Amino acid sequence: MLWILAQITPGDSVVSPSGWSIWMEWDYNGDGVLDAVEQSSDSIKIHDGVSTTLLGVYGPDGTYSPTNAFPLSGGRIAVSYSDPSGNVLFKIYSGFTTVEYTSPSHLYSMVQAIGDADGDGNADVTVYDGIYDTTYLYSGAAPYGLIRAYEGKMRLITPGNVLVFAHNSGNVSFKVYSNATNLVYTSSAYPYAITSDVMPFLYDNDDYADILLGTVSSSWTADFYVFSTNFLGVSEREKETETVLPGLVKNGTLKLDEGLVGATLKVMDVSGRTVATLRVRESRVRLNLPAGVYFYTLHRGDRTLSGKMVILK
Amino acid sequence: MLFVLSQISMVAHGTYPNVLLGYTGVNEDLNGDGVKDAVIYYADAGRSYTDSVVVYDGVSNTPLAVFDGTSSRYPTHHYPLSSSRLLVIYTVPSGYEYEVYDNLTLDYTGGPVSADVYDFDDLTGDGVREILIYYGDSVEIYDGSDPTVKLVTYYKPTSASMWTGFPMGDGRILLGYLTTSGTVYFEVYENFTDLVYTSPSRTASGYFSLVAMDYDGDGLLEILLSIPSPAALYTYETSYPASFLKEKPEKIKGWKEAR
Repeated sequence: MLWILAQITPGDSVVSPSGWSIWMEWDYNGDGVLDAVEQSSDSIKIHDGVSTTLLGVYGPDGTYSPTNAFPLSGGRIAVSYSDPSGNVLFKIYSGFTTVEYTSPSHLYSMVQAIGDADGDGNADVTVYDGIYDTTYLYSGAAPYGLIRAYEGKMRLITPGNVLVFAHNSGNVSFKVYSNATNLVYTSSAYPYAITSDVMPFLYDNDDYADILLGTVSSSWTADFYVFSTNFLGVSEREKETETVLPGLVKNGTLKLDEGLVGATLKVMDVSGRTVATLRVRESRVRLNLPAGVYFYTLHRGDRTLSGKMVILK
Repeated sequence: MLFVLSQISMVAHGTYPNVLLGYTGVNEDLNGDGVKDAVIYYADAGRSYTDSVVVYDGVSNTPLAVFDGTSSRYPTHHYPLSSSRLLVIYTVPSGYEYEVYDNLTLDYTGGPVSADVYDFDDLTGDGVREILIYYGDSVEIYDGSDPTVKLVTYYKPTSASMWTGFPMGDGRILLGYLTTSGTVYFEVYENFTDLVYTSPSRTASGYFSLVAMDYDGDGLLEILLSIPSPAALYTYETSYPASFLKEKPEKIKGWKEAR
């Protein structure tokens, strides 16, 4: 085997002041390279992934502080903000500096970019109100504003096609919308007691996206229902968030059942030393730990779930 | 505008009793027929260990394989090593035992070892992931195609309080260390064992992460070192072709083929 002489040289770097964190997850300026985000308790900075040039700085706005930044399309990004009372809103910026749109505020809600939900070729933004189990879909391109509200939680199947699943009287059901407004399918209601979930996935490796609905009853009986669609392909976002079972952490992100949001996660290394304790605020938990084997416990109310997990880099 | 009639219908349904929440799902194609199968970890409700693991065929929903447990030996994890090879880990009083199945037929039994066992990326490039045994102060990696062959052993330096490692592809391995004096550095090995690069040390406390990827799209791998405290991100240019890196092959395979 021919080996090329190893040439490894230090390149660019970003070093933050004390009290800031730094992470990379998305490409904000669409150049195909992940960009770096610096975050403090009241500010966010986005650095270009190639040059480390500062692309955008987002500070407090009155009582609101920035909490996250999401790439959209057409050079736009969405920055979410929250205030100490739990109000949440987002702003859409073009060119990292010009505010194109400011959303109304929603109490105790979560902002996320969802990809092209309405089929206009542009990524959109959802605000999920967990108390009223309602998703508000906002256009990520002009004309900006609320497209409509849906009962339940929304997930992108393919561009222009979304599912919205909701829980009512111990049942879970879902609806599929094309172009955000055309209701094309309403599922039956499936009973559950402990947890349930509905998600796009690839079941049979044909050209079309599938949908998985899972339920767990009070007697710990699990049911899985697979639905086929005629929607071609699976979205980039769903590829990224493909289900990762608790116990296996890939790329630093632990995917948990959404019923565990609000739980306290405690992570111990193999010697029993606690290396992380955090409140689960969304179903994807970032764990910045070295590869290896860990034990974890999840506490919520009077329930405790414990197990072993492996972090892969 | 042309509207295509939406066709959405239920095509499969399975019911599985006494599941252990968190280790259950329709998640892998284990018999290679192109359809994901269900892997169910069974336990009495509320118990913290599994009685058995059963693989159900995704088409017929009939059991393909059963990995039985007892109160002193029970299956706790399964890892597909390839489309035909499966690694099943059993917890035993002295640690772990493991079995490798070929097309769901037992091919190899390993252990017991007083160390953790899990799968690792394909170091040999034969399309089969390897088996990693983690002792805390050393790591042994065995060939997933022939688990009797030990590929390499790595030892943690005595000055290091923490380490991490993963393959960059085709025998190149990246190992990172957090030292007891509060610095981070990494090493690059070729041919599994030849040390070819040791990075400068960086001040750090807590933890760090290492990633090898074609960061700037120049066709060569870069190494990214991220330090949470004090927050810093360092990049290193390498001369390694990015084509060696097999990033998430199991996640993008189906989608790419579908295009």
